[in-house]
Amino acid sequence: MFGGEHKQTDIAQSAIFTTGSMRASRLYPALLITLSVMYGDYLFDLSSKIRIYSSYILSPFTQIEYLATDTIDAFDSYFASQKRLTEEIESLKEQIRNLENQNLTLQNTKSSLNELERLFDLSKSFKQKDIFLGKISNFKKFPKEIISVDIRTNKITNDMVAFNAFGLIGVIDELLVNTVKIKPLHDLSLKIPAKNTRTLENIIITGTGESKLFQIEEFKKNGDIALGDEIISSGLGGKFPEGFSLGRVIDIKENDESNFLSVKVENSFDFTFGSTVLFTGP
Amino acid sequence: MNSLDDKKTSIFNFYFFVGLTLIVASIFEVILNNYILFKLTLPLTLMSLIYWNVATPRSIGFFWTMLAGFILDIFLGYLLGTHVVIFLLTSYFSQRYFHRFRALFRLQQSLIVAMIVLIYQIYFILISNNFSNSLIFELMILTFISSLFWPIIYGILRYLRIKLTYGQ
Repeated sequence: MFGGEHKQTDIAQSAIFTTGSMRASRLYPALLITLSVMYGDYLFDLSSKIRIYSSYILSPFTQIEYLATDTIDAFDSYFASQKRLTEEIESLKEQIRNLENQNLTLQNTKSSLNELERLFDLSKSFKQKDIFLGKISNFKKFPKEIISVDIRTNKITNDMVAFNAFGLIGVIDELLVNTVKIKPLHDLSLKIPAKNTRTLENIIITGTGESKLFQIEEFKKNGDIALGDEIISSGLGGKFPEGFSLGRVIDIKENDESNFLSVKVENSFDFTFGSTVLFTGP
Repeated sequence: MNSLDDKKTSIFNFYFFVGLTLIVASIFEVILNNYILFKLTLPLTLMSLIYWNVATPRSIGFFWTMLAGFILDIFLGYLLGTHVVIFLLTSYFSQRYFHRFRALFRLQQSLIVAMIVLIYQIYFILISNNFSNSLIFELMILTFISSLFWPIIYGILRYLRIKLTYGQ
């Protein structure tokens, strides 16, 4: 406990009774030496030589500032160039996206033009018949397959049939103002007069309700039919024009309890294909 | 028993520590001189020297005073001994009146230091023989800044001295 007091006393003593190391007897020689050095420097320019030597010796330290500046510049340049590269990459990506969009648009235009070309080729067969074009606006699959087509004419009637670029696809189900609803050929309610291109035998095909699939009604067991036979519209009845492909025979089944064969016909094209539909009268 | 001598640093180490602070202060002063646009400098070394002469007049010797002065002369481009002369005189007068100086309040100490700095700067203006209105402005500004710096230098060096002497 007396340690602290002893310490304070000691500090106080040293503070009060301390005498400086710099007395006049020491100061004068020190000043004399300094003045001699000054005179020597004045005469021989000692300080310049010392400065040159010291700058040479201390150059690694004095270069630190420049080294640091160079390093910062290098980092800055690196990140700046990296940023520029990133911006350039982003700009190129944007250009690629734009080009892809353009490409897509051109492809769409090309397919539309192809489709229109096919439709116009198709329309050549409808001599002296009125034809009308419409744009597909909607497609419904449930409860039954229906496509809605926007039209700009009021001359379309309920007895017209619809074509796309592949050929005959369906009949008008409902006629509204500026819109026509089309049901596909494979609809259960449709019966299409047709003929076998190989045997030229007239037949009736009906829709099965399944996409692209038809069946031949009441084809006798002794009739001539084979797998792969092409079936086209016969034009009988006047509703469907003659000569349009409806499909090929893909399945023939015999039933012992019946006198008729069960024949299935499939077409290859899509009811929903394309964007334009052509209408023509019977 | 708790002995003071156990914790005290040897006078040899302390002597070197004082010299080290003077050299560090002179290096700072040189670096600062490169960055401030004034012709005069902020006399950090002079203020450190005043502190050591007032705080431990027995420990401060000629060698470090002269070395710090020569360092400044070399790196600030003065004739060798220009700083040394004023440092020796400052040391002498600081040691002569250190009892009175210690008894002053910090604000009064700052005023005294500002006066010393003013004389120190005028000494260099006279040496450089380069009078201008802007130099007088610099003189005033640097004297004022130095008086603000004194409590900071005093605090830092006092803290270091106590740490080194008593390890507290």
